[in-house]
Amino acid sequence: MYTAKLRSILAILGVLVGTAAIVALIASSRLATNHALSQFKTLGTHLLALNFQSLTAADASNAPHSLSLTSINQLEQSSSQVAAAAPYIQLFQPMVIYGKSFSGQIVGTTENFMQIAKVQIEQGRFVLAVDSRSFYCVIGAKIAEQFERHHHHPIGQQLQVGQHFFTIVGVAQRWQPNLFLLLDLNRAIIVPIATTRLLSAEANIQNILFRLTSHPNLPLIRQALSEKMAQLLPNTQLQFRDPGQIIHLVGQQRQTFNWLLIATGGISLVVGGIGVMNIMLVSVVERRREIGMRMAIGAKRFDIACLFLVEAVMLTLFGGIMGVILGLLVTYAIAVVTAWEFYFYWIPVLLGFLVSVFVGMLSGFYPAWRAAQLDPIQCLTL
Amino acid sequence: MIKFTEITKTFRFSHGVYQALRGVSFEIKTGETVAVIGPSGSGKTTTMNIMGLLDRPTSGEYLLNNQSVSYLSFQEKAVLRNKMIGFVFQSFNLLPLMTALQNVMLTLHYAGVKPLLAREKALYHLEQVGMRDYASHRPSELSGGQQQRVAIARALVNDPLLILADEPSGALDSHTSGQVMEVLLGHGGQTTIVIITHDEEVARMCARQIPIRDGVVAL
Repeated sequence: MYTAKLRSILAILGVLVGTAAIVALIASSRLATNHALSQFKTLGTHLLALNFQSLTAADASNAPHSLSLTSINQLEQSSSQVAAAAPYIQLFQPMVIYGKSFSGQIVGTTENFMQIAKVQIEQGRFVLAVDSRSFYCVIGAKIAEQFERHHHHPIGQQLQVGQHFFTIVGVAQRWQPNLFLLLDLNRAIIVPIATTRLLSAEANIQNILFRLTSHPNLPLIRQALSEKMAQLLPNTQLQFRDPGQIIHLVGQQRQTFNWLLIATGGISLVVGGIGVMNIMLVSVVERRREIGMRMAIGAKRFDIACLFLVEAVMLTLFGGIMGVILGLLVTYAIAVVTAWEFYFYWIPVLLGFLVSVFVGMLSGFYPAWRAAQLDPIQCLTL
Repeated sequence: MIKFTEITKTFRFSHGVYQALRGVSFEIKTGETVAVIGPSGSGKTTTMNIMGLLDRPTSGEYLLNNQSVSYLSFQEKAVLRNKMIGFVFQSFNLLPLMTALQNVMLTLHYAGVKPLLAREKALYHLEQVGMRDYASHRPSELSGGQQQRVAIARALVNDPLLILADEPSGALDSHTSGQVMEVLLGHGGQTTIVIITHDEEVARMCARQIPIRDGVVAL
């Protein structure tokens, strides 16, 4: 009896792992999609980012190699479906806060950025056009923490970048990082775009963020922007990015992982199914007397087949239940490690149960058929 | 009730042919208690298998309750076995994981009787064999004689016309054997009882003996 139990548990291990893999696969890929979409919940999806690289060397000719702020306005007006545009410049320079260096970034931009990138101001104000070329900044949540650690209210305080001191005029709320805007605003100071020129001679606009009207026609907008860019800054390589691409990309990245899990799950289920079939075949042999007796007292072939089929399904269903639980735990672990939000979905759980029942039917079928074909006399005379 | 006419049974093996029955003919009336006796290898087990619709004869005719049943399909025979025949085996053949009550109810399960009614009937028959107090015991908690009495209740529970017992006391000591035989034969009434045995004492308790030797009735 004990060995029979042990044997059964070993046999359903494969079903367990297989079901767990399938549950984890579907549940976690749903979480991933959810996560990718949630990034755009606050940001919105009517966005377009443009990154460009001037192919003209700075000193090679007289042709312009950077955009001015007035050109940005021209770009904004090139398509009626562009609601707003915000150029930004990223600089990486060490900052010093209370004598301690802090690795963060400097983002130079315009007023529109706040609205397009959904930066919420917790205290103070955002940098305005009138701040142009002055050393005012808005700090991200992580930098604000540095000040709070020293029990100082950040507004009005100063921080040092290179040889310059910036006065803090605003503190931004914690900002949800996303794969679309590859910035870490929580560890950044936001300064007027013109000020970046004072920090670095190479501070050229290379990124522009556009907020679009609802139901934008993306190819049309791209074409309009490309044409305008060709006028403003010839010989430039353009690269557009939109949230749809990001969501698609996340899906594609999951694909490899998915195939791996499908393969693991499939192999485990096949192995588990064979294991269950094996112990059911053994069980049929061991229980021949019982089969003979049942046939003698009136069991039909169908009754005998059902007996073993039900047993096989019970075995795999048991493995399936454990597998579903394990799969959910794995999904939860994935959610914790990747910092995705965990949701409970019914579909993978139901699918896990269905798959395990299906494996039970498939692997129980042949042993059940064998049992039903036995000759009662031979069974009873053993 | 039972009429065997020139029943033969031939077993074919890869290395030859074995004729177990060479033309067995006899008749058993309703309500009779009969012992089929003979040494091992005489063909009495084959006789019982055919009588119990577990095997089919090679030739000859078997009338059970005035119905020719020699060549029915497996399915038809299963239904007849369930309705008309109760089996008692030498090794009891109770299911170890089921209680005495559940073992008795198994016959009624295959007869399609509703569980509540089946329970009533099973308890009644356990009472008849003096095992009602042990209804919730597993076979491993019962003695050999007690197990065989549960098996007899299982055979009787669907009110069969015929009880077929193959060495019912073969695994029991003589004292218990006598008790079990009393329970089995004490049922009486309209039920025909056929006991396969080589125990002369058991055979003597039956009203009639049919001796079988070398595949024929040796009278």
